[in-house]
Amino acid sequence: MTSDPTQHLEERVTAFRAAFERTKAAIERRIVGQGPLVEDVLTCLVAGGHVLLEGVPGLGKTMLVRSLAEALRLSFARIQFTPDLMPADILGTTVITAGSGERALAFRKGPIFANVVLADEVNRATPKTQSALLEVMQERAVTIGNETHRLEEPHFVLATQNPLEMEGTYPLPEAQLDRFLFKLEVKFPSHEALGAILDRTTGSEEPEVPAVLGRDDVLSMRALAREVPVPPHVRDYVVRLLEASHPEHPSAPERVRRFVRYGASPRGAQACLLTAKVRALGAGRFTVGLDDVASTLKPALRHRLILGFEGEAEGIRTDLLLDDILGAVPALDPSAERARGRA
Amino acid sequence: MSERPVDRASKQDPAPPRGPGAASERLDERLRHIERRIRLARAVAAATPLLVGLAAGLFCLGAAHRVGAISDLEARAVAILALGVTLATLLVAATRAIEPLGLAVAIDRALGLGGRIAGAHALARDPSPFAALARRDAERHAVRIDARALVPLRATRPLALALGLLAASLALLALPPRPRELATAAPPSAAPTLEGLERPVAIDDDTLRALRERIAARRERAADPEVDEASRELNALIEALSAHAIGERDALERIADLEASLDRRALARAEALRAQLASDARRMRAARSTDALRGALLEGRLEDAARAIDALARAPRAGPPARDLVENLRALAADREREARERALGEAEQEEQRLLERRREREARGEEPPEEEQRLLRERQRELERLRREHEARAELERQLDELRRELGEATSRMERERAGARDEASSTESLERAARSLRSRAREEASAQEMEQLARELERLREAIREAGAREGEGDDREGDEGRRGASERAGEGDERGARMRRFSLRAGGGEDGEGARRVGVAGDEGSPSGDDEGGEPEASARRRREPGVEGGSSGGEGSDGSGSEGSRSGAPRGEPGELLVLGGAGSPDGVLELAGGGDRSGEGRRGDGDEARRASAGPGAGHDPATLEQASARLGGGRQVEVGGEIGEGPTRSQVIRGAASRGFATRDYERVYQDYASYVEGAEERDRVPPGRRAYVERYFELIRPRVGSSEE
Repeated sequence: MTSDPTQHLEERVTAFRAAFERTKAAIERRIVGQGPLVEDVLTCLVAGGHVLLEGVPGLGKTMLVRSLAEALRLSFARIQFTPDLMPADILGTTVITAGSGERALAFRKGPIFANVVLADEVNRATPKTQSALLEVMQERAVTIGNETHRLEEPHFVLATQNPLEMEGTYPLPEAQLDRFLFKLEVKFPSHEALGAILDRTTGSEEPEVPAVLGRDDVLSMRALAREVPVPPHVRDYVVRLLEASHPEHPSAPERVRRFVRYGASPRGAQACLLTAKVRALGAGRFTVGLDDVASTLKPALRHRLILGFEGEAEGIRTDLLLDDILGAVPALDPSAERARGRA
Repeated sequence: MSERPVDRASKQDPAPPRGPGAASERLDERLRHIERRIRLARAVAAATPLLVGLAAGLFCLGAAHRVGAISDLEARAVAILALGVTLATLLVAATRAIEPLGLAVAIDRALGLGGRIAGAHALARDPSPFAALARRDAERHAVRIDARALVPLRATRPLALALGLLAASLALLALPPRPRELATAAPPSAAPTLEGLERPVAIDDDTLRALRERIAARRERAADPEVDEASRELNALIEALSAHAIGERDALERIADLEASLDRRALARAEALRAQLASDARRMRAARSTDALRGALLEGRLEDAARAIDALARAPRAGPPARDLVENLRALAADREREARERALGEAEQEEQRLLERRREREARGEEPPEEEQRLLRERQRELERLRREHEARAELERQLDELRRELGEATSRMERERAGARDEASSTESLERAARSLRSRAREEASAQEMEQLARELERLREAIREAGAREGEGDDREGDEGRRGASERAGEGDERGARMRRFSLRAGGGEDGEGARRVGVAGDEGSPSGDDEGGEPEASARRRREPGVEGGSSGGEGSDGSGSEGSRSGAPRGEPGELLVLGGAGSPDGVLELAGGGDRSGEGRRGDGDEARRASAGPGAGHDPATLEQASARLGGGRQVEVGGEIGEGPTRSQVIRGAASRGFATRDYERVYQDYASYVEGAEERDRVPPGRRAYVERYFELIRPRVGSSEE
């Protein structure tokens, strides 16, 4: 260690980057052709948010989460959401214990107390159960009776849902979708990736994922990410992007005005900027750039735009609207630029 | 966290620690360097079109200067002005400020630095270690930036061409004007001295004589006293010159006075003429067609006045008084022009004669005519020849114009007469057409009445024949006796009622069911008949005989009602109930049903059943008529046209076709209504069974509300 603070900080940033790359490489030993997805999931983990994974069955969503848990040396729990799943099945329940001759009530923790929780097919549970999960995600604590149980950090929930099967499901309301930092779409793998998947999964040996990151590492990375400074023009860019997602705002593009009922919440801007910090650190940079913001805009806001009836009826995808926003909002505010020029 | 990456990182970057301020300054210096480079590039980019324009302008300027169109001073002033404007523009382009943050963002994007430069620039005053690291990182990347590669300065081909053209233009400007132009310029003359001005003017005698003679001739011709006076003054001046009694200055002064006097007189004459024209214009009638002429006369524009007169002459709607006025004015103008031309010709001829006489005199004296006089004579002859040619050509044109004008007048008169005749003819044609329409209408009514009477007679004969046949059958059958007859009579009554109901039903039924309806009527009649084989059988046979596939509306309606005709006449059931529809159908699916109001049959039923009142009261299909007759009568009375309605045999559209068709044609079809009901009931059931998520029910209900069948669906 050296006494120079910048030298020490630079070492931490370098270590951050290396840890990030190591974890990604470890997961990609099992998950093929989903590099950007793995990177986004890790970004969310480091930013301290939860992820909603959406994709058709068979694309490796559950495998990805399992691999992540193995790579992180963290406790892992999987909850298969079904219509008859009850909140107590997730949160835990009070049971009667008979220790030392006396009976007593004791709280038995549910799977939600694990560090990494896979909520598989989250939209198959009833709204009551979904609410229980999402409350915990937000508060990071479980209250049973008069007793509040804090969840151990890091607490990372990855929920999956299938966009095709709608019968018998309970889609997450927009307010609850807002709890997820990122909504990631699991794409179909490319031709080459598909071949590699077949090679790896039909052989006799299943690739193992080494544990490369511990609990302290994750918490340290989270702390470092929050220290990254944001230049004023980048923060201003995030604000203007968020404003443009609101149909009543003058800077909103035409399609946003037509199809969007409500724009993204401030939590969306927080998600965008926080994950942009992680992106910058992951790329070995010390400040957030405009491109970092642009790259996190879609996963951070795609589930926070609430479409109007026309948008729903037309089948408008929010990614299309976010592309419009990115195209319409200039990187630098022209009015601020003029003011700086005058100064 | 593992320490391995940290160690490796420290080995990778052995650069000594530096102060954040130094890194920031170096970065700023680097940015300023790139900014200067960008300004230069911007100036070069702006210079290309500017220099092209400047060079072209200077080239034109040099050419104008070369041919002497503009002076040296003007050329230099314009050239300096153009150069100044160009340089000022280039200066503005080169010195216009560049926003440093914008520049940093542009550099980041151009080199893929991920916002390093912009971030470091924005955090220049941030004392945090992160900001210091960012500045150092940016500085590390900035030193690798090659400004020449980032902002290349290339002398483009247009710029080189512009510079070449500019050089050529400047060279052209530097050249002196062409010598020929210098020669044609006014020669430098010595300043006139007082002695020279006072010296008597020496003009040769021949010139003075020629002048004198010309003035004398003018005085002889002149009727105007002003001309006479001016000629006298000029003559006095000539005399003074010939006597060498006047100096050059005096002569010039007197000439100037004379010219001023002539100008004043000419001005006074012009004023007088203008006043006269104005008074003429005021005297003209205040007609819109003469506005242009009046305006031209008031302002003294004779050319415009002549054009206005021509326009008036050409105007087809000009009335006889205006045309006369125009003709008179035009004749007046032509006469004046002709007089002036002849006067000029006469003067020229007299001048020629005088010159010829003088030459003869000189020849008689044995003198050689002076060269000036010969030249004057040749010019006069040429002038005279030209005037003669013009005069002849103009005379020929006037003659042709008069001829054309006369023909035009005759044609106009002829057209007016024909137009008056056509109006009379049109009114008589209309009255003839009205009479023809009335006659045709009466003929139609007459024919209809006759046909109706014939039909009534035919039906009466048929009824008698049927009655006789029934009586014969009843007498020949001993087993059925009175009881059977009574029973048959009761059944016949029931059959009549049922038959009437079935007839009405069959009339409402669709195309494929039309014939079927007629058969059912026949069966009902059969049950009710005493013999079980008379009236019912006949209508059925009749219906079968007369039924044809795809027959037009009138025919099908007649057929259906004909089957019930004999039954209805006996039972006294009302025929053609008001407001009933005649339902026709094709042979295909029920979807091909077309419902038409029975307007065509209405007339036949009315005449047959209820006499004169039936035309108003009955609206149902015809009964008891030959379909063909009924159809003809309907067609004639209704004045309509026959349309053949044919159906197409098929199973109709599929469910998916209906849904797709609704998307393009709208939600107002009967098929779509059926499909919608199926789905709507399914959705209601699904909602009740909680198969639709509660959060989505509003969407589903709203959606089905939007695609609900429209009101007009039953009409298709």
